[in-house]
Amino acid sequence: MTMNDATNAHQEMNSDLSMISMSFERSADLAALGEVDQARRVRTSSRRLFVPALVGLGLVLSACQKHPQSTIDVEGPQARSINSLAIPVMLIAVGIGVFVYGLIFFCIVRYRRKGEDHIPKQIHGNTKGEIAWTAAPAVLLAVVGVLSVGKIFQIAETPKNALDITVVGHRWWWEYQYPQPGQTKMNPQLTTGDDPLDVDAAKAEGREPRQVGNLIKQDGPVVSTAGVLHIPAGKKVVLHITSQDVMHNYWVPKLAGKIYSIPGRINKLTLDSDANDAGKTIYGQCAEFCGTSHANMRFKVKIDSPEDFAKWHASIAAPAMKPTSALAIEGEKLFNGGAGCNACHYVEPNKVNEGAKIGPNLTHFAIREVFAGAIAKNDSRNLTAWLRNPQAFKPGARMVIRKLTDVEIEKLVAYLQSLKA
Amino acid sequence: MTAATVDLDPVHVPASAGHADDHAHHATATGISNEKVAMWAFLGSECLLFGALIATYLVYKGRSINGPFPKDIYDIPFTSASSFILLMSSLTMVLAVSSIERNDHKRLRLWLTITALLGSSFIAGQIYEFTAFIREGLTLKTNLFGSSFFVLTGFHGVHVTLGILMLLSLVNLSRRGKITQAKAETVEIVGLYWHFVDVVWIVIFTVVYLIP
Amino acid sequence: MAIVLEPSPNSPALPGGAIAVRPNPASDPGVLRRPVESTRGIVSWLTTVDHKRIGVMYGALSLVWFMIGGIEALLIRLQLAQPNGDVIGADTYNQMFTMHGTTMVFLVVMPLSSAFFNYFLPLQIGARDVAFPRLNALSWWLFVFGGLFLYSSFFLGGAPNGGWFGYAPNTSITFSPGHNIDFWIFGLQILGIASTVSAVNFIVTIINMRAPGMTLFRMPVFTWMTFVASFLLLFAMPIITVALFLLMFDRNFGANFFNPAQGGDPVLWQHLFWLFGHPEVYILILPAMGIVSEVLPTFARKPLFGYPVVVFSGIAIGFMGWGVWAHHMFAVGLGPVATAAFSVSTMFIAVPTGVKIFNWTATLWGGAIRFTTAMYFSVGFITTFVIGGLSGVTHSVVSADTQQTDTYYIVAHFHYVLFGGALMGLFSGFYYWWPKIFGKMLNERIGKLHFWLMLLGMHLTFGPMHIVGLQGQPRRMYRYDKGMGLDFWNMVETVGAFIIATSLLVFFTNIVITSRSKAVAPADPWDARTIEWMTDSPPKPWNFDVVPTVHTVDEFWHRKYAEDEDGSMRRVATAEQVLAHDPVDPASIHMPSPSWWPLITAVCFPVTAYGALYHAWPLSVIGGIGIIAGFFGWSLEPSAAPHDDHHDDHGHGDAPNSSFGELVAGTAH
Repeated sequence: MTMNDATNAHQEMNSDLSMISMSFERSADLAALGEVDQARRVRTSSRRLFVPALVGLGLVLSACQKHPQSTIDVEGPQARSINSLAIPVMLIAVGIGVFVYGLIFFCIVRYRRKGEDHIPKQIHGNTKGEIAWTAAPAVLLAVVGVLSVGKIFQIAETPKNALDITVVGHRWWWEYQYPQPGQTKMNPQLTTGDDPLDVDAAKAEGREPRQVGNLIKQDGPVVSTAGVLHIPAGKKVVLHITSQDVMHNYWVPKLAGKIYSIPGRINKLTLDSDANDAGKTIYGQCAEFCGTSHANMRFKVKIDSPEDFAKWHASIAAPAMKPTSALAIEGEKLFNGGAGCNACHYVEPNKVNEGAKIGPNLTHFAIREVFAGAIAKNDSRNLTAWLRNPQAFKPGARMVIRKLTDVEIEKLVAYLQSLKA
Repeated sequence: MTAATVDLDPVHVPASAGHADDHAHHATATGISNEKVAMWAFLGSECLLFGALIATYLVYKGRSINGPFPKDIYDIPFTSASSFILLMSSLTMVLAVSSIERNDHKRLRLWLTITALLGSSFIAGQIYEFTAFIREGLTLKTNLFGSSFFVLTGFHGVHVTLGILMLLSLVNLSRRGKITQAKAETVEIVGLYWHFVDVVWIVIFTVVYLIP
Repeated sequence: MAIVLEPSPNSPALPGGAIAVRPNPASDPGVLRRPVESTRGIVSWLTTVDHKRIGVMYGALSLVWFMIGGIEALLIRLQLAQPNGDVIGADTYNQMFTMHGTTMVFLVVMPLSSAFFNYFLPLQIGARDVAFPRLNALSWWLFVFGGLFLYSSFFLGGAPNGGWFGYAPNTSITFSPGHNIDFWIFGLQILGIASTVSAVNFIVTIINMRAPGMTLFRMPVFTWMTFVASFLLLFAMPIITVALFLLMFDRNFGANFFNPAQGGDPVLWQHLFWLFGHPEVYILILPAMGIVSEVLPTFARKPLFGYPVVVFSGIAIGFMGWGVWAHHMFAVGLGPVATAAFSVSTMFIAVPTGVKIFNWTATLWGGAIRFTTAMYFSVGFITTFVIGGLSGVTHSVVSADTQQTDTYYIVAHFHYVLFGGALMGLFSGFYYWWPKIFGKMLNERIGKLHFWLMLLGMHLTFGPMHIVGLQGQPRRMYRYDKGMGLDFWNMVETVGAFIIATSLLVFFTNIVITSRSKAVAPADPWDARTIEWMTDSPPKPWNFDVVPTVHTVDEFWHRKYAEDEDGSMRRVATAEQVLAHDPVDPASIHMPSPSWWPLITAVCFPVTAYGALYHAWPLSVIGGIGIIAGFFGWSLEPSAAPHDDHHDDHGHGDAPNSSFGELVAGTAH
């Protein structure tokens, strides 16, 4: 209990501190919100406390550019809570560093040799001193340790009444499975079942299919999308994160710390945002090396107002729009026939990746702002380049497509762009 | 023991030091021969090797998805018998060491040969067991049990096999009169290795076969 | 094992003294003609078993690998100099960062430390060689062939590209179908054997071959840190060996260890890897800490402050290093209890590290500091290591680490520790011991230029990585986008990398200039304190004409200086006077003879590995038979060729038929 109290008290103090260092970057935003006075007050009081450290850290971090993946200038309560401990610890570290540097520089300036005969007193040690500089760091670290442990358990708590979303890592893009519109609960489990890759062969050979143990089982039909994660502003979201190939690492720096996406395991990560964050687009990226195009496994998190979110959620659960233009209708035929896109891609909202279906679900492709691991804006030029040669667009891309003519590409692009909500 | 031989420090090295001393324990800082210290160090390293393999087996115990599972194919009486044979070989190894200490080379060769034969019987049993398992459909590829079982017991089998090679080398050296009583320690050190491999098997047998 | 045995002053404590049956030339069953004992010519280098020559070769080859690893780093930095860089493609980039990490860890810092172990460990404890000179040569040749094997991948389809950490299942056959990863697996296995064998060798040497009077707590700190690092190697190497074997069985024989579909857990790989990998970090840094602990007292003219505390903190790091591995896995989702435990243990490993820093500073305090290049590098080591250590503490706060892990903030941290730390310490060792090794002084003026350029380049390269890391630049990315605000500092880092490269050119220039110079170094250029300076520079093959009897850690110093009546230190003897002794007949000292067997045995390892890699089993069998035959040939060869001129009873330890060390090596995993 006492530990919790101490932790809480410290956190309050710390969250003030972290606000300070953020104030350098945030002052413009704050001014707009009429909070500039407070920011100034906090900044002034800080100057007495940590001037050198803060100026260094703050200026360097703000260095006149925008940093969409900054871990210092963050958005959500979760990320702020991390910084309320991380930044004070960094500042303490800087303080200790300055102290040790001071000692070393004092020694090398003060104790230079003054000639060949200069032989100093041969001191072999000092028990008291050595006990002191063993105990002092130990005590300091014990305090930090208690705070760190408190924070670990605080962050590990899974909130109730949150929106559940399932996140599946693929080389090199993220699949998102949402519950049905209006619902918020999901409980994905890994289960044992027939190996989708072996079902046909087993049938042909008249035997039982081989079993695999990492099938994702959901309670009911889900809605599958890719690339852009939509979350409602001000509401807690619990991501259930797994992978269907290698290890990935799901990271939205401005909202939360990282969590691995591991095949055969499901990890949970809480994301949250402030109510006034609605409309913001947050950057995210896979942070664990996962092969050739690891650098191209990005994503966006769109924070919607609750109304916008509900609208979007309903729209992606609807069946795909039928193409109307002649070009797009031709494109659909190619998609399901000559170009063979449907071997890997679904255009049905409830279908999730399994077996040979390894591509993202494209049901409402046209409403996604980005595609191909969120590295490219979703427009005709990029789509054309992508379809012409996916591997040139994104090295190692698993999309295999035969050589298409310009006309075929035009048709496919038209079809993909017709997949609106 | 290899490098320096004549220490010229007049205080610490009586002129005759070492000359009169004709047993295998070289004058090292600890009084224990380099080879023996090296073997202990090496066995320490081996503990971690088998520790990691056994830990892997334990982590994956009961996690196989497709059969056959351990209960389907283990033949505990058979493996118990071959384990007993391996344990007995430790006894004969002790007898070999005590023979060389009594400078009885005939007995030394006899016991070393018996030890090697017992070890070989164990290996033969393991080969039989492996083939039986494979016939019943358990391979390295079948499931986690197959993977971790074959790799763990296979590693141990390789260690026993190398031990047999060492024993046979000793028999050969002894036949050619190359193991003097002063070299009795070589037999003892091979014995250390052999006992270690036996002890590891006791752990493996318990963990892999006996604990359900 | 208990390390309580110390040579009693009354017993005939012969360091490495050995009594063996005299090899009988008539029945010498050696298969190969014994190479002639010589210190000239290529054959003498190929067959040498002299720890000093092996040390020099380790150092030279490590510097070559250092250049290659450095070129890889420059390519990485060129690619990242600008957003969406296009200097090397994604796949090449992945090979570069994998090989850069693997090279710097296994082919640069470890063998550079090994170079110093080899050269100075026997000298510092007053031994004439290591316990098993031929095994030592085997370690060296395995290092050579392991490295060449690893790099042959560049010409055989592509270098390893799974990162030095090789996380499964990204490195499994499904997701890395080429042979890239196989080269990494087998290369590391060969290098692992080399490390294990040399760890055994050094441990035995330290335990058994100390000079008379050299108790464990009179050993120089460098020897102590070697001792601790050797134990870490001894126990860490088998774990990575097992991990690599499991991955090898997965890739080559369809096993399921890291196959999630069959219930395999890729997290097991992480546990095994970091259970090796974290002790490995201390294997890399402890030798450098040892070097610094030698250099600071010498140039401050004061004994190391709190010698026992420095030694014990080294031992403590060695123990605690086993209990912190999961701090590499804070984002894996191990659950709050496990992460909390590892968070706390990680914080507390900072205590012994901090103690070392304070003791070093206290060594400077009140000293009479002479600023040589070696001293520059040692002080440079402390100052950069402090930064690396403190940023390390910030990772131990788990919540913070979930933001920092896998970003450039971590890259900054471990380069401050391993480049600013380990390598600076090793360079300090170069400048400090160069006159001992070669009898010539490296140019101090050029050396200081080297230091300042390296320090500047280091801070420019790795300092900004803290910033871009916190700004959200993840590691192992072949490119980053425009508009991420990362452009400026990435460019600065690239410039810094080239400054480091320049500093190394300065170092190599220094070596060339020194090697051409005729000036001979004085016997005791630094007014040193420990007994490796109580012999010629360079030392004779047998190290010491007269093995000193040791009374204190700073034996050499106390033979030169003594307290006078009023308690202050006075010089009582020059180094030359201390070194003077009656002439010794070299024929009375037996050294192990050169041998072909270590080389022959070692060369069979990559042959076996190529066979296994390409599933060309006959080749593997040939290699395997070669290895076994090599050990048999070796064990039939007396360690010392018979001397015609000196028929006494003093033979050598791994003497004709004792064959034991060889049998041990024969079973090394």
